[in-house]
Amino acid sequence: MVRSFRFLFQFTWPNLSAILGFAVIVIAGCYATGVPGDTGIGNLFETYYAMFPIMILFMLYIYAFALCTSNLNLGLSFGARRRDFFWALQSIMVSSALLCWALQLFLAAFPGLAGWASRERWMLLEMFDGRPWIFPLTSAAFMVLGCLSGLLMIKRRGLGIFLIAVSIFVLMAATAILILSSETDLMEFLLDTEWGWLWASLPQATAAVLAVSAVGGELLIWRVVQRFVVR
Amino acid sequence: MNAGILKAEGLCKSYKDKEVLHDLDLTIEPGKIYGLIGRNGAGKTTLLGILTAQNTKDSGSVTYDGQPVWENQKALDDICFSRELQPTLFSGPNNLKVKHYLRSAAIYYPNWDLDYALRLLDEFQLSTKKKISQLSKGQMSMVTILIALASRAPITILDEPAAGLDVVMRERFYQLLLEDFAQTDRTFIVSTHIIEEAASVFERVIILDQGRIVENAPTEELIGQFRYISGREDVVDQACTGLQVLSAHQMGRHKTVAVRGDVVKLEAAQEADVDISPMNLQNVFVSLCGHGDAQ
Repeated sequence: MVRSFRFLFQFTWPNLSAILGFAVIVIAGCYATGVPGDTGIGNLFETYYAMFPIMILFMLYIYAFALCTSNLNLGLSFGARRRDFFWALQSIMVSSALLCWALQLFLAAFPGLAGWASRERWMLLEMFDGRPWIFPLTSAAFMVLGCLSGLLMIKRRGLGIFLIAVSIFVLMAATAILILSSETDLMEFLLDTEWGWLWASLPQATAAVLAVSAVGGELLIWRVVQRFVVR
Repeated sequence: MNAGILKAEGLCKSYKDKEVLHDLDLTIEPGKIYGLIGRNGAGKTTLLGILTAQNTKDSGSVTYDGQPVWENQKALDDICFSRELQPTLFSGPNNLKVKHYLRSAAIYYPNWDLDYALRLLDEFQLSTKKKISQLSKGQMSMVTILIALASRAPITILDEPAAGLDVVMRERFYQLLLEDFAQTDRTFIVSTHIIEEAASVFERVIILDQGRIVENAPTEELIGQFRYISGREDVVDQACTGLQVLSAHQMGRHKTVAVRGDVVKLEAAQEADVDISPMNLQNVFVSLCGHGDAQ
């Protein structure tokens, strides 16, 4: 497994470095355009900063897609054992999720630590307060989804495209819900309805769906990797 | 270099309704250079993929030193399958770079010879920073050859290594192959369409046709069984008595046949008033696998 981990790491570290580098650029851009101090700015860097968790999820999805297509093909063509590759893939995905989680926690804490004004602008970053498991679980689920999309794209192009479309829709819907719930009184309204109990259990339901999706996706990935034909 | 015996027994493989390999048995003994030849779609790459656990099989077994190759690290460590690179991968350009391939080879092949790889990189004038999709067909072949030779794997398989190479580079490849073989005594399996050039390099030849092995024999011994016999039609027909006639071509009363037989019967044919000429490996292959196409 060590060889497969080293093999995958050569492709992973530039991608993770790009995410960290992008975070540095966004923070620098915020300072350069006066975002921390002036609440009326509302520029691109402020938006990128506020939306960073979503961008990380999107990038992890794309990186996982590549891990399970060209990288899988290359690794197996050099004689990697399939189970070694699968477990190395898990290690890479867990490492990436943990690193991105640390980044997300840092970005959520940074405005407070650095004394930025109007911290309510960063509600999306702070939405995980009290539920720290949401972001790493979501990261893992999206990486599994990205990997699965790549593998299915190779086997059945139509199904792969469908899964990509569903993933993008889910990400956009989740983003919209998160923004609406943090920027408006939508959640209070929903909790006051007769289906309030359902909305109150949304975090637990989301966690359950993510966990089941991740586990189900992993089982599919295992099966597909075992039967993969090198080109 | 100690290679084990790579053996396939009863291999069957189908893609949807098309049977690609049928009940195939093959033993690769160590310390030889094998040539694997067959027409397009004969099943060569599929066979090589299954032998190296890079493709699945429907039934049968593939073993290395008596142990299954599938998910067997020891077997996979000893086998290098350097296949033809593709400029596209999964409907998009192959944006992996030469350096990715070389680094990956260094990670996975325990016997990877970095010095040799660097010397070959220099000789082939390849840039490690170039993407595979930006390489010419000949350069892609050079990468295939480099990986295979520098892997120093006890069993090294090359799939179409000479495709795209000019004649000078092809000669250089055969020279490198023989030099490596002389130094290391590795087992090589070379799949190629450029049969006649490579024939002098092959110790044994495996001919695959429509999913079956039709010949697996020492090259010289195989070629020695085939002749062209030409002359007057009735004389040629008489001379072919006891010989297997593989193909015939007639112009007026002049007839040319390709025949197969043992040494005794071929020598007997020489007593007739006919011209007898040897066949080369390419002629043998066409006679066995031509199926009447463009003789």
